[in-house]
Amino acid sequence: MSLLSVENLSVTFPGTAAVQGLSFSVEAGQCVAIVGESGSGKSVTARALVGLAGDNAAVSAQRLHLVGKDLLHLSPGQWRGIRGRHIGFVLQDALVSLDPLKTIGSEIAEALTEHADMPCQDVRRKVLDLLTSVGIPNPEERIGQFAHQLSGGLRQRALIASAIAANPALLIADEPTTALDVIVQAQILALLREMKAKGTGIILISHDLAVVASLADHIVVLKDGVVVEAGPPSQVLSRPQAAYTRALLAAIPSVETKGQRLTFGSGTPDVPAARTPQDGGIALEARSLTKSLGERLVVDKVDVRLVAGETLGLVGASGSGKTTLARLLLALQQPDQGEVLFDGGPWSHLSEKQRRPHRPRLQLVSQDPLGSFDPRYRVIDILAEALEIIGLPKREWTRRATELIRSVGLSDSHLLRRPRQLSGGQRQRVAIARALAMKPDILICDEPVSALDVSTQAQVLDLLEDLKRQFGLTILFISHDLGVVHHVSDRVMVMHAGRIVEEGPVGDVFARPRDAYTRELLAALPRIPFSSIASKAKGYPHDHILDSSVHIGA
Amino acid sequence: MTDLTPNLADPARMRAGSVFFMRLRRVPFGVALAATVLVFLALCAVAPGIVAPKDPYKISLLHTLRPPSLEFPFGTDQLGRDIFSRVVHGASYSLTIGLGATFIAVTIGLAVGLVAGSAGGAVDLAFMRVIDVLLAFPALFMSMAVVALLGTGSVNVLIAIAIAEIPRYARIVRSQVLVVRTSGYVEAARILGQRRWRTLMRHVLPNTIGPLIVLSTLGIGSAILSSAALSYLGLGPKPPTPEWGLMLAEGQGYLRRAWWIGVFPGMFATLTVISTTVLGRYLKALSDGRA
Repeated sequence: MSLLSVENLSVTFPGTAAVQGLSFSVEAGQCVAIVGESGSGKSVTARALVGLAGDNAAVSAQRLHLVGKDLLHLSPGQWRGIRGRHIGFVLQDALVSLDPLKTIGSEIAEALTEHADMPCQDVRRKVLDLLTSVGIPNPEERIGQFAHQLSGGLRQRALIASAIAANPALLIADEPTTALDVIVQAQILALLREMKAKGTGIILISHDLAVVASLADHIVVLKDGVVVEAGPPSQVLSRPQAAYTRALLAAIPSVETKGQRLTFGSGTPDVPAARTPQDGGIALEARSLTKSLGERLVVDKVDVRLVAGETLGLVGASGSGKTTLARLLLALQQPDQGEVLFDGGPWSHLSEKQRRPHRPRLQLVSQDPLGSFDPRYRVIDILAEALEIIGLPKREWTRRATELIRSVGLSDSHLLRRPRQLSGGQRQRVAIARALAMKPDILICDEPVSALDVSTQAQVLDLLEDLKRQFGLTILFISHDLGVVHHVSDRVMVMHAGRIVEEGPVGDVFARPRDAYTRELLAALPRIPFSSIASKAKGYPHDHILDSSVHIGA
Repeated sequence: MTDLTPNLADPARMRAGSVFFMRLRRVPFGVALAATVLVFLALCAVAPGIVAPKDPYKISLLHTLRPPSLEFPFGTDQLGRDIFSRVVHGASYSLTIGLGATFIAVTIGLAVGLVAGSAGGAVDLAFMRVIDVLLAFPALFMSMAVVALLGTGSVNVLIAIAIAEIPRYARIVRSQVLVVRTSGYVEAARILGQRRWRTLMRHVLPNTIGPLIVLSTLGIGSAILSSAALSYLGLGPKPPTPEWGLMLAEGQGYLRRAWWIGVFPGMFATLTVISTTVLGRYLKALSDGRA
């Protein structure tokens, strides 16, 4: 008997069908991966399987059995007996999912006392066992800490520990590694693999085929709530039948995609360069920048030389000091030692008043575009604000805003929307449009695609490439994702614990890493075992593959 | 979500309008009731003659201490004055003091909080220590002290209550300013090269005012309560003004013989406070996205 068998599952919300006719089964010790972009219905599926689809959702199926027990008509009380005890659920955002007022020890203990009927004196020992089993170092110390005291990776492990506390037969993990950097991601995947080997059934939900490739025994590809392809990884990844699967594979930036477009028939076609940068000059320079936050040395004697016209990649794990370095370069923070030079002149040593007239030339695209927009503003207000600062007369604003919004691949109707009404990819396009409005020389992109799914990420990366060529931009591209950095960069710097440990042309660093940490990063990179096929997907005619106009609205 | 109408004017406005009406239909019964009570009180304040045609000051020794009846719905007091008329005419005092005091307190609190929060450093420290000292005294005690300095009367009560409420608003504004000041959009404005005062007016002020307006509706109720309390203590308007707190104090001596003299003004004061509070809490829930 299957651990979980799902036949013809449908989830509908008033007016829309989120999932239709989904069927699959999970055996003990097996991993089923559900893959698709945002809005494809994968998270809705996960929530429906634990009875949390929501009050206004209608869940129906021909069969929804957990070890032979029907899950379709359970009361909320009965569901509480299933969740945690029989099905563990791991969410993407561990910081939000863990109670900020509880130590992780009591969070996990709660799961134990709720479901495992464990005598109190044994709970602490069991919690320590669990923390050890998910690979949290110094469990004795960690057990008394709160979520905010843990790093992203440790938080995710703590969340997994609480999900598996009652030893459920089935674990559902919804994007468990999306917010994590490659090394931690590799550790979490290894942990899941270990649990699978011990006989736990796993449903892994992700937008990234490369992540699921190493773990899944069966892959289900969802698009708009409908299964477009399903099968073992060897088949789905090496001989993808559906155009959508091929597009998903092709969208993954990797060593093979260097210099190619990640999407087909999208974005701006070959536009002649409107502005040519003076190649070779140093656009932005940092000399032995040092910055401590509290006791911690975050940036340690870092030198940066950003050459005009190039894309310089900055890669490192979360917490390595990348964002602080970006803030120092933008002069949002003052360095403790060292200085930043902009176009050969002083920058960090200027007063804010002296710097203000030059600020438009150095712009930022951040990971969280939504947070960088005034919540009361519509897209047109956001752009108008920028245009006002560069002194464009008011009557020109609408025309210029229309121009800008089109140049980032959105349409005029988006001007009247509020950022909250846009998808993540659209928001990032608006942020890029605002930066472009300032006619910058340099664009600092701080994890610009980390919050996006693979196909949206591909569109934004292609857009940046087009704009770079069109406007002669110099780009500092910060990311924890090596594939992305490799794809976009001319040169790359590797940052670890506040220091630049390696620097050089991107091909050299990736092919012959000299530093041990760089090698570790590269080894942790999830790969599709059939990667040659993935790049071959590029050869498919573009007419039936990712059409950007469809996905902009996704 | 893919409404791709190319027209630049219509879709957003239409959406905003329909959302408003959709929300309106889902207003809970209690909130609707509170709103109705407040509309009625506003009518009493603006045009008391329509609601209660009788003269609230007219003494009639033939009709003293009458219990509620068809002729005198709330009865009469020891001087034969119609309680209903007096309660209705009293609404204007209570509402004026409640709204006026809250408006003054919010305005000054906003200015203080904005300056303290955005200037930071020594300015912030100085402002906030003064506010702390003011907060250390109970609001009613503060108001009494101010009335003692300025003298009694409606206007002075209004000022006294406003002064006592300022610290609360200043604190809230300051903390909100601190949140907004470190937000991504203020930083984005800085990266764009926007001048500081412009950012303050464009982003910090508007994003601070929203939550403040909601909180001030809650403050109106407590200001009305304070004004009634001050009048009750004899620090507000002088008799024979039909002020609720004053009427309450006058009715106190007759509570056994003629309960209606004190109970009706008290009931109206309570009803007003509850209604503004219910409405304020609903607005707060709405702005937090909970309703």
